[in-house]
Amino acid sequence: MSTFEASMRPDELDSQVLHVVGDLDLATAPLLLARAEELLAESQCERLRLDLSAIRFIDSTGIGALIKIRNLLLEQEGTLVITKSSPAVDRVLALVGLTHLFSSGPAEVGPPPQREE
Amino acid sequence: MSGQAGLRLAPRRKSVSLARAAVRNYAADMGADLIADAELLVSELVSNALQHGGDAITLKMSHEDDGLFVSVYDQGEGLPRMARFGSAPTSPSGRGLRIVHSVAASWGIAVDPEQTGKSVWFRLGVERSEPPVDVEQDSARRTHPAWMGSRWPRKVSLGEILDGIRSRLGADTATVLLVDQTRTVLEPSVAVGLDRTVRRAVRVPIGLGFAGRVAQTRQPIVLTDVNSSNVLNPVLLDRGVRSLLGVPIMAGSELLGVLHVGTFTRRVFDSDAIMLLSGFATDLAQTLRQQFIDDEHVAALTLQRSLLPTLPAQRRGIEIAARYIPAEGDLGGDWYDVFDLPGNRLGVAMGDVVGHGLGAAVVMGRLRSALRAYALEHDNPAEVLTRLDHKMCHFEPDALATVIFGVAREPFSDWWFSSAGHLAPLVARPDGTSGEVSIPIDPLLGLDAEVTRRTTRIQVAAGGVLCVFTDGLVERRPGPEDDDRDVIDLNVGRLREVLETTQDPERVCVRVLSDVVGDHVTEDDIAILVARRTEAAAPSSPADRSQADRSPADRSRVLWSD
Repeated sequence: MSTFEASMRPDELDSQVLHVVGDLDLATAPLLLARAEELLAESQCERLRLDLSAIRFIDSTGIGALIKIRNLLLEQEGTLVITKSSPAVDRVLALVGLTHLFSSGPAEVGPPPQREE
Repeated sequence: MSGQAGLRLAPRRKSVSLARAAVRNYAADMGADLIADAELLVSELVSNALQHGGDAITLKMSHEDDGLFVSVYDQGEGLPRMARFGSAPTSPSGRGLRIVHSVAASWGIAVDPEQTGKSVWFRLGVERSEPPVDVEQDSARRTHPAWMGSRWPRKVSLGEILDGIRSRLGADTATVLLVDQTRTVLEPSVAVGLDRTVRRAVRVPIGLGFAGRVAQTRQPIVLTDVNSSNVLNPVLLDRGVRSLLGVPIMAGSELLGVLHVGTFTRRVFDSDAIMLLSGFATDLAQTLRQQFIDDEHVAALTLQRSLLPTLPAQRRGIEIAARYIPAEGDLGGDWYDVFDLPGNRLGVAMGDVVGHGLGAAVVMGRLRSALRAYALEHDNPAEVLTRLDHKMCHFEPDALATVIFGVAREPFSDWWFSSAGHLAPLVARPDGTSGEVSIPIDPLLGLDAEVTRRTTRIQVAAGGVLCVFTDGLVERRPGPEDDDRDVIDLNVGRLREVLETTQDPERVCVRVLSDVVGDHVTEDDIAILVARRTEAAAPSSPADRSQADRSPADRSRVLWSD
């Protein structure tokens, strides 16, 4: 059976990171999603950091969960950043062509430029 | 490590990890890379089966040569589809089969006509182009007698396959027609032994004509003596086809199209011929499916489908048929469109973007959807075209297009048209006369966004026919028998003659393409749309009208006058 765990831990810089361990698939993706929704409900965080270095396995359903979390954050003008990844995550993200979606580059959302009258 | 392994999976989410564990064990000595790939792919297939398939899910694994073969069977009827090419990157689903497609050496879908459900399979570790199909030689797979996949190598074209079928059957012609996206019409896909114009012109409504009846009954039909009463398309008769044998192309319970062969001499097709052709149709279904899921094909199909128009479901009081024929060997900029609008109205548009090739087609696609959007917001066709012009002058400053757009409400007696440089429609009356409608032709789109546009009312009598078309239909290079100068008049005359003598819009299209276009090479796109007010059209009851008029979507109807 797949192991799975998602918990908040401080990283080296002492900021909170959601640490995910195990297999992220059809069975466990809803767990991650629920955990993320919980966190977002608790605090309107602008930036959710994910440590995926302990993910042994991920498939397209797992990627789908990451996208859903990202979309949730975008709705409240936040961003999702993968701070640490694993070979499995990197490979599947590359396979579906979405590596760029979770990079930590500047992806701040601001108001659209005003139309000049 | 020999033989195959199988596993029944419970319809629970956790079965995904069970399946991965099973594959991991089965492939334990095949190398870490292969195991990782196999885990990923089996996870995708089992996830799909759990989410879209039925309850009974079976995982099967076997060693093949130096590789691994895995299949996942479920009872679901629907066949899995890959995410549309270019679908939104932020969509959370639909990537499973793309991963399978990228990673597997080969993969496919197997449908057993004897039982419900389907298997999706993949192979890892060997580069081979042909999926396993040789049922007789593979006892391990006898439980799945209809392994999908091609008897032909994947890269063979449909034309070559048809050529083979034609010669095996000893026939002169072979044709494949595919069900179009509206599921009501068969569109010719590939033909051998018939010239290209014939191939394009014949679009057969399901239920009518020879191929239409094969599609409707889903049974083989033998036609020993072809004549005008049993074949819809006069051009097929002209080619001298005497006898026909047609079989449906089925994928499971879904009709994909019709395969038929014909002979120029009279022939009674016997049961052996029927069996043989049915067998080819089964293989063809598999090939078509394979093509369907082939990456390139998905892209081409998506592009084609987004550019080609669809007709709405048949509505009370009006029958509509249309054709679009791209210029020889090129993507064109013509389009037509028919769509429902709020307030029980129908919109009809036709246009021609100046130029050819992908560029024109892309501009056409944008104009088409922008026109729909403006039509939803504005009731007056002249206003719709004004907005469209504005949009085009701003975003496509180099493009020019003619567009005609009309709106009518049931019973479709009064049409409100505005033309931007487009040819006026023709109207045929039930008394057998016809004429060009007198409407002002305003400047084409893309010249001057400030121009004033006008809307004109066109009346169509019950039983009357309205026809809009692009200049490609009438401006073709004259044939040897035609007088150079009068070719447009001549072609409009031919078009009117067809409209005056033919009632059914589908037949009008077939006849126009055979009488007016004939065997000419099409140097320009051709689009034609024919709408006929059915005589049976009962005027909607006053209750219906007031109901419709009170709906919020209907608050501000018809504010302009002609």
